[in-house]
Amino acid sequence: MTRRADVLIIGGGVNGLGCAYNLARRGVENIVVIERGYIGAGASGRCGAGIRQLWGMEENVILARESVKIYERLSGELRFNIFFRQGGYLMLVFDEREHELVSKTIPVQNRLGVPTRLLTGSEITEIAPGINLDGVLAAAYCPKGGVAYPYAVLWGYAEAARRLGVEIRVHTRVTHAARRDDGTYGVSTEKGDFIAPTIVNVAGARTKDIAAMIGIDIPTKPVRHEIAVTESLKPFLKPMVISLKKGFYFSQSLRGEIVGGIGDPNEPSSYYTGSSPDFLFRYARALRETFPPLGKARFIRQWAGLYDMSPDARPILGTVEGYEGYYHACGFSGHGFMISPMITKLLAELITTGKTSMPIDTLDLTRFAKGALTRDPYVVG
Amino acid sequence: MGKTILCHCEDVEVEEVYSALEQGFADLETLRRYTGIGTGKCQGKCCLVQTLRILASLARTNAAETKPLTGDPLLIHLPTIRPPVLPLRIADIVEAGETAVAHDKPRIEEERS
Amino acid sequence: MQTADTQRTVTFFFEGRVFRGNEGEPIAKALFTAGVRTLSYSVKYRRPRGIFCARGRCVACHMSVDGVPGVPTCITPLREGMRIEREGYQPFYGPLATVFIRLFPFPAGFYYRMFTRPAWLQRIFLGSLRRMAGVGRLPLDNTSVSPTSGSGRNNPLPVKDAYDVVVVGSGMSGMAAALSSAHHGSEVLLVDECRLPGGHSIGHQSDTELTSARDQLIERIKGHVAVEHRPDIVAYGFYPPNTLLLGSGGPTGMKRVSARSFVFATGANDVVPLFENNDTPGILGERAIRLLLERDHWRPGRKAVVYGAGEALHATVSLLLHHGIEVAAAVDPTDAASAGGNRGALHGVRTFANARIRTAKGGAWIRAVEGTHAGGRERFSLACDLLCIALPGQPAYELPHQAGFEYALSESPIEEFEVMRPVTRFRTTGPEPARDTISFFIVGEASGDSHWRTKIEDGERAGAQAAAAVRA
Repeated sequence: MTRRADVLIIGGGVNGLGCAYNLARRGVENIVVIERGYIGAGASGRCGAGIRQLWGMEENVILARESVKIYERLSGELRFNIFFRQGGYLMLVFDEREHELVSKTIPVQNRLGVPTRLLTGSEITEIAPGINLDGVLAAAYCPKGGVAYPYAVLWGYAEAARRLGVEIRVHTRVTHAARRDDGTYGVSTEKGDFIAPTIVNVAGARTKDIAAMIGIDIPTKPVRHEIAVTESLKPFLKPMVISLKKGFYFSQSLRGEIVGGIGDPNEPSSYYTGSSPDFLFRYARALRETFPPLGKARFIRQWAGLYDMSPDARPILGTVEGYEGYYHACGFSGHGFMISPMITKLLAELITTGKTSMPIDTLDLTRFAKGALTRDPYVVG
Repeated sequence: MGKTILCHCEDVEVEEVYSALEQGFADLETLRRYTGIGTGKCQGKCCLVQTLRILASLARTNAAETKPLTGDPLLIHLPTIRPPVLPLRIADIVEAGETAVAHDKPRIEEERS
Repeated sequence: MQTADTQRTVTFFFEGRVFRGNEGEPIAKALFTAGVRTLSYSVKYRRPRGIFCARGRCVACHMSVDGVPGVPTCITPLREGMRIEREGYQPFYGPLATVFIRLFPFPAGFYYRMFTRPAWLQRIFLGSLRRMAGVGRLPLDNTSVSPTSGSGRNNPLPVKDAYDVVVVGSGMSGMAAALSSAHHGSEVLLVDECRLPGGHSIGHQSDTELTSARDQLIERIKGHVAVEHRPDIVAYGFYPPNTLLLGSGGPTGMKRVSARSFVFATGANDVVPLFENNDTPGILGERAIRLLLERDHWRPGRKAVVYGAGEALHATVSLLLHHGIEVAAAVDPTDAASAGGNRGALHGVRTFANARIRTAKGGAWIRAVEGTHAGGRERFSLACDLLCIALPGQPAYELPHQAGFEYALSESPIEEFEVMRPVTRFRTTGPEPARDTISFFIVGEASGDSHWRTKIEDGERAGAQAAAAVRA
C-alpha cells in the first residue's frame, strides 16, 4: 500500500508542521507529514519554549527577530491561541568575560532592531523582584522575548494545516528511506510506504539517521537535556531568566508553573530521555541561589528531551548536492523552537521558488567540510 | 446543575473528555495536555484510571466518532510517569547537601520516553 | 502513631482568627475541630474542597502555612504559632470569573479558540488567564521559615548507600518480603512514607486472624538485625538502572540508595468513581477514612453511607461501626448474592444491591446522596455526613512504571472495578537474574491482590526470589 505524495515531510514537530502549513498556504497540495509518536512526542513537546532574540551572531539575531514577529501574530493567523507571553528575557551576567560579551553584542542587537538594554542593580530587581543579586554584575534585558506553550503551537499548526488539506500521520515510524532510480524518494514505515519527489527531513535528533538511510552524512549528535516543572503558583515572575555561564534557564508559564532546566557539560551523546536525580540537585541549587523565594516551591515533574547538537551549535538548513528534491533542517542545538517560524518560512520559499528571502548559505551542510567554524556564545541549557 | 469532576487538581469535568475527543484529541498523551487532566499537582493519581475507563468503554462500543488529529484513537496505556512521585520542595533538595557526583547513565542504552 | 506528641495544646492563626489545637496533630484535623471544613477552592470553578485522600496525594487540603504555599495539611503536624490561610482566593476577580464560567458551558480547550484576534484583545485575554491561573502564592520576601515537603519531622535516613534488597512499603506484603529476604541472607532496607507499619491493614479489623498475622509481622520487623526499617521516608522516584531517591519529608535529608533487588509493595490508591458532585467534602476513600480514624483519631462524621463491594465493603462497615459511626446504608454495585447478603459486618445494615451513587448533595460538606438500585429501576435518597468509597483501589504504579513495568486495564462488567494492573509482577534487566542484573518485584495491593493471606504469601515468595537474585 503505497501513498504517493507531492511533498513528504518527515517529522511532526514544530518544523514539520510549520513547514506543512507554510507550503499549503503557498498552494502546494498533496502534502503528507509523518511523525513517529504523538504530536509533541519529540523535542517540540519537551522544550522550555523560550523565544528570545538575545544572540551574538547577526544571523541568529535576524532569524530570531523575524521569528518573534511571526509568533506575535501567529495566534490570529492560525485561529488558535499559542499563548505567547512576551514577559521579556533577562540574561544574568556573572563575570567580566560575560560582561564584555554582552557589552559588545547589545549594540549589534540594537542595530538590528532588537531592543535589548543593559541593566544593573535595582533595575534588575524591578523587572524581576526576588532575584538574588549576589555575584550578578549586570543583566541584558530584552522586553520582546517570552515563552509560548509549545503544544498550542503544534496543535495550532496541525489544525490549520489540516484545514488546508495536509495529511498528518502519527505513530508512523520510518524504517527505511532511499532515493529511487527516477529521483523520487521512497520511505517505508511500520504503517505503509510513501513515495514523493520532494522530501523534507525535519526529524529533530533523528534527522541524521534518516539522512544516513538516504546516503547523506550529517554530523549532528543527540544530547539529553533535562527540565523540571513546579506546581502552579500565582503569577510573580515576568521574564524568562537565563545564565550562559551557569547554563540554566527558568520562566513562569501561563499556568503559573516554573519551567526550567540546567545543562550538564558532561552529558554524553545518546538518545536517552530518562531523568536523573543529579539534575534535580543541580537545578534546585541553581534555582534557589538565583531566586531564593523559589525554595518554597515544589517540583511536581521532571522530564528530558534531546538537543540536536551540530559541531558549531548553529542550524543546518538547505539542500544537498546530488539529492535533488531533498531538503533538511536540523542541528538546532537547543534553540530550534524559537527560530522555527523563520526556518519553516525559508524552507517553504526554498521548496516552492528555489530562492530564500534571506541568505542561508552560512547554514549549509557543506560548511563543516570547509572547517573554521564559528560558534554563537549565546547557547543555553 | 451539579458537576462530575474528573480531574480534581485542574477542575476538569467529565464532559470535557468527550468534547476533546470530538475535537480530535484521541491519544491519551495529547488528551491529557489538551484538557489538563493529570497534569496538575497530583499528576493523575486521582483521575487517570477514571479517564482510562471512559476511553476503554468508548473503544469497546466504538461509540467515539474521533477524527484523530493527533494520535491513534483510544489507546489504553499509562502516560509516561516521571519523578518525583510526590511534590518535592526545592529547599529540601538544596539543604540535603547532595552534590552531583558521577554521572548517572543507565548501563542499558534503551530508549525511554 | 501518637498524633499529639505531648498532648500539649497550642495556639494557631487561621485567616486572622485565633484557635487552639493539639500540638502534632494534622493541621487539617485542628481546623476541622475548630469548625473549618473548607480547606481550599478548586482552581476553575472554585468549588469548596476539604479533607480527601489523607495521605498527601491529592490537593484538596493544600493550604498556605507560614507563607509556604501548597502545604498538605492532612499530614503536616500542627505547631505553635502557625499562620494558616486558604489559597487561591481572589475577592473580586474570583467569583466574577466563576459565575462567568458556570453560566456558559464551555467545551474543552475553549481558551485556545477564543479571542485569537485582534492581537490587543488576545493580549488582554492572556493577561486575564494568567491572573486566574495558579493556586498558591509564593511570597517574595526571603524569610527563612523552613518549608516542609511531608511530615516535617527529621526522620533518620537509611544508613548505607547500597543494599541487597530494598522494599518500598511496609504493609503486610512488604513486611513479609523484607523478612523473607533477610531470612534468605540479604541485607534489607524497608521504607514506608507512613510512620506506622501495616499499610492498608492498620487499625481495627473484624478478622482476628488478620490482626494477629499483621501484628506478628510488625513484631518481627522491630529490631530485626538484617532489616533496616526506616518509616516516614518517602521514595520520590526510581531512576534506572537501580537508584531510588529517598527523602525524609523534611529539610534534613535526601539520599540515593541502590540495590540488586527492589520489591515494590506500594499499595493502592482510593478511586472515587464519577457521579455528580463527586468532589464534595465528606467523600472519603476507605484508605482515607481508615487513616483518619486510626492514625489521627479523627472522626469526620456521625452517619455514613458506604459505597463499595466485597471484602473492602465489609471491612469498612466494620471499621465505622467500631468507631461509633452509624452506617445508614451500604450501596453495592454488584448483586446481593455475590456480595454475600447481610452477613457478618453487614448484618443489620440496609444494603442496596445493583446500586450506584448518582449524586452527592451538600456543597461545603456532604449531607445526602442519591442513587439508583435494582439495576437502575429504583431510586434511593439517604441523609448522611460521610460517604465512604470501598471500591477497588488503583494499584500504585509510579515506581514500578519507572522501573519498566507495563500496565493494562483489567476489564470488568462493572466499570468501577476496572483498574490498571501490572502485566507482570517480576522483571529483571537481563534475560534472567545474574551478577550484573537488577531484579524487580511487585507484591500486595500494588499488584492487584487484596486478600491478606495472598499478600503474605506473595511477599514471602518475592522476598525469597529477591534474595536469590542477589546471590545469582
